[in-house]
Amino acid sequence: VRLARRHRSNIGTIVSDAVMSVQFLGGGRIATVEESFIARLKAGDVFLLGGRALELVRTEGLTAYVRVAKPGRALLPRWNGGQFPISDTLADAMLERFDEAAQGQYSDKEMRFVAPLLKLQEEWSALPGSQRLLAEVQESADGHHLFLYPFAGRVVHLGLAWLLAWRVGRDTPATFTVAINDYGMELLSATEIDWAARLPALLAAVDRATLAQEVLASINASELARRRFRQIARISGLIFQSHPGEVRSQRQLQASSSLYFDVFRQHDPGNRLLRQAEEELLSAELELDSLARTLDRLAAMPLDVQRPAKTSPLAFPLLVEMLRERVTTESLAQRLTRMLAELEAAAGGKVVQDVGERLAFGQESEKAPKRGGGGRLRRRRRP
Amino acid sequence: MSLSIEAGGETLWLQPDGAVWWPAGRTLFAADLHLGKGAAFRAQGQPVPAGSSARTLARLEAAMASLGGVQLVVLGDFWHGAEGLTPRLLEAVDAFARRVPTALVLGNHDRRIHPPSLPLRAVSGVLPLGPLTAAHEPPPPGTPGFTLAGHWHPAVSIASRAGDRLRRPCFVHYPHALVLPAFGGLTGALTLRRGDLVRHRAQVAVVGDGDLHWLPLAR
Repeated sequence: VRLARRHRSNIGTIVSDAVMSVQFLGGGRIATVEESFIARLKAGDVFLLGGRALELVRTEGLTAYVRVAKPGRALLPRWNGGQFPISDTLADAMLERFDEAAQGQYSDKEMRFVAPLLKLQEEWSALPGSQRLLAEVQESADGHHLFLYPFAGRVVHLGLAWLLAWRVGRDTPATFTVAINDYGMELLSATEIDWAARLPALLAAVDRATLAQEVLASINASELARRRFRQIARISGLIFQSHPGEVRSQRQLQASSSLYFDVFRQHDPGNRLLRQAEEELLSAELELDSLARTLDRLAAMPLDVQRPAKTSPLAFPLLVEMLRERVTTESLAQRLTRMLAELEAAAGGKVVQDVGERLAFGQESEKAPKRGGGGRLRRRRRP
Repeated sequence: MSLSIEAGGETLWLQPDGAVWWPAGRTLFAADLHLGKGAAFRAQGQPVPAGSSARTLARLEAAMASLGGVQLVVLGDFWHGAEGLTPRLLEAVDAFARRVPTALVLGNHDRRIHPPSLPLRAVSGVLPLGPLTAAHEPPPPGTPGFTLAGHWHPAVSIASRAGDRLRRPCFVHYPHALVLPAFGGLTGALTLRRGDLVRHRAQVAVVGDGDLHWLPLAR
């Protein structure tokens, strides 16, 4: 009976980001905003909502208290307005505007307003346009960046970024973090990749069936399947959320969806919940059709690879984008070895100690005077 | 590839599967099997695939056979919960313990539910083994002797350039104790903070894919 009740109450679950209501200190409610956005703000930050500049005062539970900001305060964070992608028409119109700007035409007020920024973009790198695909390759302390501007909207960019990462990985395994916005995308890797030489082949258009296969393979390399699985796990009752008014008990029976994901993959790879996660991704999140159209369009365009010395105005929003996806085609062993080597280099060039050396080291720490008392390590509740 | 450490005058080999081999005592140590966790979840109607407990036992038996061990010491949390004690599992454990001489230091998950009829030696508290001590919960710093323990399911998070981050189970070697990662297949983990590890002069061996690596910690 309990089981049936639990299942019934999960059937209708609508999985969404947790939302917080935004409220004035005096009590007036303004709107609800995704929790992930508020979580990135700190008290005193000013953001735009409902046409007003609001200053965050504090957050309590699922309510964010704000007041009207004093004029003149810098407006820094913006709300991404959910995940709504731009349309093809808007993208085309923007590219036309870039074409005009490339010919020195700034026809209206808005274009004249952004003119200095566009000139800077042209000076440091180049302007994107409807007849060419702009790519920027850059190296920084963070690693090796590729910025690409297909102007195809967030959804397509995400799929395209994974596809690129996966296609690179076919002959040189690497781990990328991916940032996207409506204009372009960034692939950041710790290892260098010769983008200028490889991009044309990586962007090749293929037939639909091959593309579907490749995208599915790239999903498996990313963390997105894992995230989508979390939502399915919640609906199917794997991750149990208390009924309204019910006190949650039986801690021992809670486990994280990511643990389930790994266990399913190991013991039950044909599991329907896993397959559903893949199918939902292909249809809902990746829009295979638009991805195929974009690839066709990009394949017909000449590629313009720039190596700007400074981060260009177009690249900057991508560089500071907080929401990043990770895609890896390296094996765990390769990845761990590379990361540990980097840590060692950072720790002062110590080399990996082999077993023999390490033996002596272990004795040393054993003989060293013992610390009495001292705090215990932080404990978290175990799943 | 195993890594060796010297502790209490003995050599211990850390194994990539999360167990510890003590050649002088021909003893294998493993912690936190959480057998029957899947079954406990299934008893609650959560469709977790079966087979992880059987696999855990098979892995232990294979390790014992390849090393030529005479004794297996489980550092607590052999079981997960009362709902997981299915007749099938009890039968499998019974057969296992007849083939592999097993001692169990009872952990927090075991104390109330361990069935005493099984042919394994159950100890509450700690189990002294010559120069070493086997326990479930890691002892506080400064405890004399050298203790092998589990309970934490320790893991470290490694971050590198280009935003790459990886969380892996690990061994933690303190001057006074060695904490083993969970051996069981269906177990979560506790991420340890690097500052605490450095402060307690711990060495960390990260479990990779079939191998182990010492983690360079900033001093």
